Amino acid sequence: MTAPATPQHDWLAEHGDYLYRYALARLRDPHLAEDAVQETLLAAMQGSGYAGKASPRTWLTGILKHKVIDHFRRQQREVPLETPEGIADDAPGMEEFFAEDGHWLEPPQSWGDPGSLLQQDQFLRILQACMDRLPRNLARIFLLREVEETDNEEICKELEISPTNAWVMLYRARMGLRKCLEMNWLGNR
Amino acid sequence: MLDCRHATFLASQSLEKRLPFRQRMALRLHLMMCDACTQFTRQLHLLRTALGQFGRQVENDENLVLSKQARERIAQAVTAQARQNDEARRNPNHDSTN
Repeated sequence: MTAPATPQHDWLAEHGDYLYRYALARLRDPHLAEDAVQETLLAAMQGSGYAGKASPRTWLTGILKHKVIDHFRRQQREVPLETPEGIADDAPGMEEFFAEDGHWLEPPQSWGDPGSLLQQDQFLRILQACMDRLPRNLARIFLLREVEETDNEEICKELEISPTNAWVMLYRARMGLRKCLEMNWLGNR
Repeated sequence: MLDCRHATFLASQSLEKRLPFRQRMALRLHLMMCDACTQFTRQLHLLRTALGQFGRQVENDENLVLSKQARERIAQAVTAQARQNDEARRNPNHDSTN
């Protein structure tokens, strides 16, 4: 049986790996990334199709971006963001990091020169491990914000949350991540 | 006076939007006096840079490729979809459940 050749088969051959990596950087899971590539190519077969305005890769990446955001939104329904009760702009919680008087329990340490830090494979490996250890709802919004570089307004729209909720989630993600890095990376240095 | 807990929240928020004048001043004043929160703020900026770099690194890492199985599975799904589209074109009145 010979498969009918379609442009999508060529795209899979030419851009499949790139699309996979793009998805992997955001979804952090090989299977989810594979599924997103498949959904993207299938979506590319619907509707009016490729108009030739952008390069196929750019066009496909645009579709994939929406698939990634769709995935985050679906996950959101399965594991909803906890609605933080009574969280106001000035009361983000965080009892595990601060004493009652609002001072740090363990003050952050200097991480040294940022330039050289980012060159270190070990630092980046631990960063990944720490991201995987974040609660899923925090990791999701944090990846959307920092890797996808989605602005806050779009995040709120896509995930259907309030700006305050988004700020609190991002704050918690950052607090968790830096704590994890400090424990696992400074300890190893 | 701003305490560290509130200062860190404002520092994180300042990565998302321009803070209102009063909060901005309060944060600046706090950071002038607080080494821990100054380190914290540096770490936040570093995290932002690192995540961006991390994303680009994964996108450009040519060792990360679709597995053979995944590639075949996707090719099959594309083939199946192409057939279905063809049939739908040939029988425009046929109600295809999509």
